Amino acid sequence: MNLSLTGKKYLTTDERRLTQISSKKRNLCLSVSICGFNQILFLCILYSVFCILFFACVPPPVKPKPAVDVAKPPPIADPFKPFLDEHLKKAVSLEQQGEILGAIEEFKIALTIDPTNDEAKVGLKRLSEMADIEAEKHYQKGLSLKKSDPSKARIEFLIALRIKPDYQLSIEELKGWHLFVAKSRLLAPSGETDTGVEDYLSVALSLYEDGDYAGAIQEFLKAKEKYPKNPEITKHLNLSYYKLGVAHFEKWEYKNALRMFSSLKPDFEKVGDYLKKVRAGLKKTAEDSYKNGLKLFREQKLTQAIEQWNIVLEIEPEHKKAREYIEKAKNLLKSLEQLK
Amino acid sequence: MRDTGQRNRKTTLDADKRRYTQIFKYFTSCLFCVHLWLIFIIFLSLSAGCAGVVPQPEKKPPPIPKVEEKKPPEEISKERKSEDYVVIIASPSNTYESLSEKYYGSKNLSYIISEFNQNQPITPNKEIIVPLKSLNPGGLYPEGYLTIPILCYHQFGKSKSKDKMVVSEEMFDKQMAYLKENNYNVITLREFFDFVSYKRRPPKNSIVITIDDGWKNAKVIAAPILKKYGFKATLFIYTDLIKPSKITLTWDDIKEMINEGVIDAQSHSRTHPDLTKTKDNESETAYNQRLEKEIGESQKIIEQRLGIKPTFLAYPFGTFNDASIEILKKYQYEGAFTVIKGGNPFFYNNFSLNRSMVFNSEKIEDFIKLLETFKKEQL
Repeated sequence: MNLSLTGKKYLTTDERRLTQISSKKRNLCLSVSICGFNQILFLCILYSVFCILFFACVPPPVKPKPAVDVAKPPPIADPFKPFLDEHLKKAVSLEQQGEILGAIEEFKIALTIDPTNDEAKVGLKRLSEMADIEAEKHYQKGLSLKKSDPSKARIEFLIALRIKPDYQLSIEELKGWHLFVAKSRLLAPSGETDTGVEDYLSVALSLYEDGDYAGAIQEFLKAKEKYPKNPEITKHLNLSYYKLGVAHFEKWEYKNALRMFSSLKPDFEKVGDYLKKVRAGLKKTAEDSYKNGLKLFREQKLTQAIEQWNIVLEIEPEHKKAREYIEKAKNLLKSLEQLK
Repeated sequence: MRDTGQRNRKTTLDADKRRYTQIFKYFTSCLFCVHLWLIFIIFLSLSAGCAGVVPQPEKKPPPIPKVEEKKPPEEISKERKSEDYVVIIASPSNTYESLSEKYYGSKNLSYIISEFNQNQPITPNKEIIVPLKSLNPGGLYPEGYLTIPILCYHQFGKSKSKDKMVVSEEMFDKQMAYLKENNYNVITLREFFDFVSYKRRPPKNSIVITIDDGWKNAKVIAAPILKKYGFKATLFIYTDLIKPSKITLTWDDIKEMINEGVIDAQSHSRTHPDLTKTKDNESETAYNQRLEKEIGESQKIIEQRLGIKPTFLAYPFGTFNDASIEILKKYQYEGAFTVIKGGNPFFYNNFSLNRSMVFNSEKIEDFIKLLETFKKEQL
């Protein structure tokens, strides 16, 4: 760029062109900058128009309440009300008669009609608790009678179930009871119509299956008294003797085992073998006890020595030496007491 | 010169400043134009949408279920429901059958609603109660309990026979007629098992009819009489007996009777042995294997031949022991029957259920004695 004499600028061609371009831009910018404030104002107006249009076009969410309120029918009396009152009344009356189960159901019906009814709610809760307690009482009574009187036990379980229909334990007891009854009916003589036989045999069978052979023997003996020729009863009685004998043998209770096996014929199951083993065991016990007695005698433990020789005599009542030593020991004890 | 330099620098700075301002203004103007354009587009699409020009995806109506639920007050008040009961104010169209179908899915259970409402006829505007839970499934009452007799037939003869196991055609007809006339409900074995499984009480005076073995006369004599009275029986077959012969049923005979709805088939073992007896010198293992064959194979054969898996067994000779029950359970049998005389209350064991043998007799009274359906006992 050059300067003239008057101080004016002398511009080259390029500079002039540049100046022209920039002046155009300036004009444009000027016009735009004039609008600076208007721009914002204009945008605001446009956004407002947009918002108005948007809310005008999109339907507002439907509010159910005002719509219903408009069509709200006049209040009508509840047609169930008389039935509700009737059921509540019936529930109270049944409760007074002791029909707890019936009263419970009436309260449930009342609550079906009006789930918010406090009288029914309270009544149902109270009676349900009562029913639970009562059912439990009968169930426990049934358990206590199960072995001694199965027929009465059955009635107790049934009462428990009548009071509390979902008493699963009672159902299980009854089903278990019936299995023994059915088994006992198979044992009973054909054509037997006396249901009393079920009692003897079901108790005997349940004891037998529980492993209580001593108890089973007692019950089978009762049944045998009534049906002396029934082979199934005899068979089960013999099996009870046999199993109890084996149990005693395994516990080295040879004397008891001998008693059980002696009630049976030697050819029943393995009775013959067991008898041999039991006798051998008893002989050894007698010998051991005799020797123990001598040892204790030498140690001057006279009372204990007598006990050992008594065992010998229990097994072998004709054991002379044991008898002699018992006499000796007793005499010595007497002398000692006299000296005191 | 210095002035000139300073002025030049100032001019350059001013020019730069102006350029930046211009760029900034240019930029804001562009932004403004974009905004304008966007608003214009949104405006256009909205106005088109409102005018219904552009098909818009279907908008879900706002949730207003309460408004829809509100029915006219008459309809609301017709029914109240809880988990235990439905209480209905009867309308003229209601019947026990229609209610049973609506609430239980079957018309056959209408007796439950009817009995609960003391068998009163339905009167419009009166209350009807529908129990939704099985009430008293065991049929227990303070004065006793329900018991279901199961009648056990073996053979039928055209005329009177000396054999006590053969019931004459005439007597069988008489017996069935007696059941019909006296309103006995002949129920299926499945319905009976729902009762002994403590699920659902059948109607009062229910009985079950069973026929053992698989003799031809079951089809020739018994089936037409059963059909005549609309009764259904259960056939307990021992599979070795079923073969082409004049006196025994064939698999086709059994299929035919099943298709006619007269019988259903269940197991009576394979060869009909006494399941409690061991053979001479038979070991325990061999005995158990034999039991498995009798119980398991008969089930398999019936399933193969008839396409129905039997789940009930009638013990041959009616005898059983623990070993047989164990094997029955292993093969998923649900229950088994003896021939111990008497009805079955719900609390009888599923594997030792009673069946009363119907013997050849000329007296209908002998038959009536077997039909005890309620046992009196103070509970």
